[in-house]
Amino acid sequence: MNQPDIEAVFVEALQNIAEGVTELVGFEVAAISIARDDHTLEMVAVAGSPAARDQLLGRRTPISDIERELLTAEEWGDLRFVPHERMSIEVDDLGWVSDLEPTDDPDAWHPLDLLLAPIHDEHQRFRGLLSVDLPRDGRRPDAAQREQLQRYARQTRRSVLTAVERAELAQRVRLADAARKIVREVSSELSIGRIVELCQPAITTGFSAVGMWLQTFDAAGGGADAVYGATESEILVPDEFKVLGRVAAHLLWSRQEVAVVTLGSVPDVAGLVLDEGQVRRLHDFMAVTLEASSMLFVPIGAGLECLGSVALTRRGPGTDWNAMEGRTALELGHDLGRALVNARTFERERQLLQELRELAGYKSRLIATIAHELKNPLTSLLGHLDLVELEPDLTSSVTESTQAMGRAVDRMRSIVDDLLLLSQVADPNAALDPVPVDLTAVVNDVLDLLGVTADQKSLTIVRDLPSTPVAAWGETHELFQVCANLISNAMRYTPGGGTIAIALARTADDVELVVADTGIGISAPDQHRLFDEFFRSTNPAALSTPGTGLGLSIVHRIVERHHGRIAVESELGSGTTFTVTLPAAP
Amino acid sequence: MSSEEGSLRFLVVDDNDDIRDVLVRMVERLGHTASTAADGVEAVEILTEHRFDFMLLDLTMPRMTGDEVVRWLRAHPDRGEGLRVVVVSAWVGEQRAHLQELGVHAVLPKPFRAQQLRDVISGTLPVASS
Repeated sequence: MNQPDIEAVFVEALQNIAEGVTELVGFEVAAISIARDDHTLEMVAVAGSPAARDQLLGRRTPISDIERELLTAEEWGDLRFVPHERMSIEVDDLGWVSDLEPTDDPDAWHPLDLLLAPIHDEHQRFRGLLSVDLPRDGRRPDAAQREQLQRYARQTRRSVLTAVERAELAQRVRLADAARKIVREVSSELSIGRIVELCQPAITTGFSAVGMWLQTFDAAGGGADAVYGATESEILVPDEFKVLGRVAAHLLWSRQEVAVVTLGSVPDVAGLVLDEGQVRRLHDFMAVTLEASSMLFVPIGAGLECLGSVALTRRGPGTDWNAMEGRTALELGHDLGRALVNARTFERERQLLQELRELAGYKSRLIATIAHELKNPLTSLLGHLDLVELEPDLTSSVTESTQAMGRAVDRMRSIVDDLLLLSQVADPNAALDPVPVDLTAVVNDVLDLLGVTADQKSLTIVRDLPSTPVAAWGETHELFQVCANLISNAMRYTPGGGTIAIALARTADDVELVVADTGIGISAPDQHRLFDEFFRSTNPAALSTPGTGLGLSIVHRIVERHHGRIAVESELGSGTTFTVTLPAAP
Repeated sequence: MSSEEGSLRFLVVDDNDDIRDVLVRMVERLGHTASTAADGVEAVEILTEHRFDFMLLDLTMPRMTGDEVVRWLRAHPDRGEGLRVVVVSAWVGEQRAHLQELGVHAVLPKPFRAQQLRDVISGTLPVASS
């Protein structure tokens, strides 16, 4: 039932009571008001004179005005009588005054007399008012009439309080459900702090709470529980209560219960033992630090695991938590539990990814440093080899040795160069700044550079290149390395007289480079490990050809960081085809 | 400018003894003379006292780096007059443009062959002297 429906039902009930007063107790007019949020009393039911009804219904009077009148009233049990001579409200403010002729008879009813039955709830909050006017007999009510009226006043009180409570409850449940909905909708890809930040307004409003504290338990079971003070974050929750909260939440979660702590009583949570000092400190913490009068303590969990707790506080009188709110809050504990599990999973994955990135970054820096450190000894070796070779009258034996050393140094140089390149393209922290790169020009440059090798081995080079530029997004130097590595590999592993075919084509979104050879081929098991660093073929024919074992891993890394793909097709003895696909640039 | 016909004065700056040694021998083999400095601080001390035609300068050195030596030269233009600076380093890759901006005449990446050093020297010399 929504708010207007509830209001309609209880207005109808109050109207019946008012009519009972006019018909059975003997007053011309009876009106019932209820307290509104703006500290006024609104007349919602008026019985009797149609004129009075027209003028009074919907009228609002400040509660403070009525309270002032009541100070001077005569107490007739639950009734309050304000004789006209004591009345302080201006006549104009009364809304309706009967046209009864005043007389001097002290027992006669005066048109400005007020007879009221104020309605307070158990916390002495002003919630409503029954007022009557114009007794049919024209006399101030006698004892019997007062008694009868008093019964109606009690009935009115019950009806008003029930109505007000139902309306409030319906409102709270509605808001609490809205809070749950928001918690469920919070994206899983958020930190716990962010979830608390996003849900806090809905939860505190929904549960009419002034404060909200969310505690998450350290997943590892250590002491690193975190407390998110969503409303009054400057308040630090003492460690003692964090520990207590952890124990209490686990106990409550296993029983699927919530607990209400008030200044007057600490709940009896089975299995939780608090000593007097703890109870006193908890009382003081609530009363002094939080300035709260009651606290709803709700376990948070998922499945069998209790993950945390949320504490909601209220301030001031009449701040009990009813059973419905408790049940809704427990459901909220389930919703928050799911959100926490998601956030934790996300956080773990994020951390793992970060660690992997750091490890990859460290590996790259290590490789780069070692490669650079090797350059000085290489410089020394190479320099001295040159100096030796400049000496006159070297024997052929010495020359053979210096030439062999020269080849060894050259090979080390290419390993160092490849290592440096690998460290650069494998570093996740080294950002790529892509520009359109014309691959036709790159392939032609590579073929110019390697033309001598092709001629030496009598290889046939078949170029299937478009006459217009074909651009891919990338870094020129790196894409040059891709082409150079693939084409030089093809030349290296293709016996003399073979054919290397290089094709370049543009598709709708991509650029495709195909390098096919008629070489020795790569076995299926080798193809799986082809792109691993330092992997060398198991094929003796391939091993006899020098290589660093880094070329294809460099190609693979570069293609990957260009958001491209590389595929290999090969058969031992008949040849290999590499296909590289890269995102096309305009 | 030169002490004898075609002979140039070199300052070799590198914290690695072996590299200094091999560079000095290569330079002398080419018929020039060479002094040495083991880091930037020594280089600046020698540059304050003496004049050179060429400085072969390493970049990563303790106390004072090659980069700082080049900056010192910019701040003391009288000491750099007629001096051609060739950076000889394993770490030049990305710094080439930046070094040229600072006034470095040529860059020789390690490791290098004797022929490359010869080419850099002749390529850096003013046309009249080469």
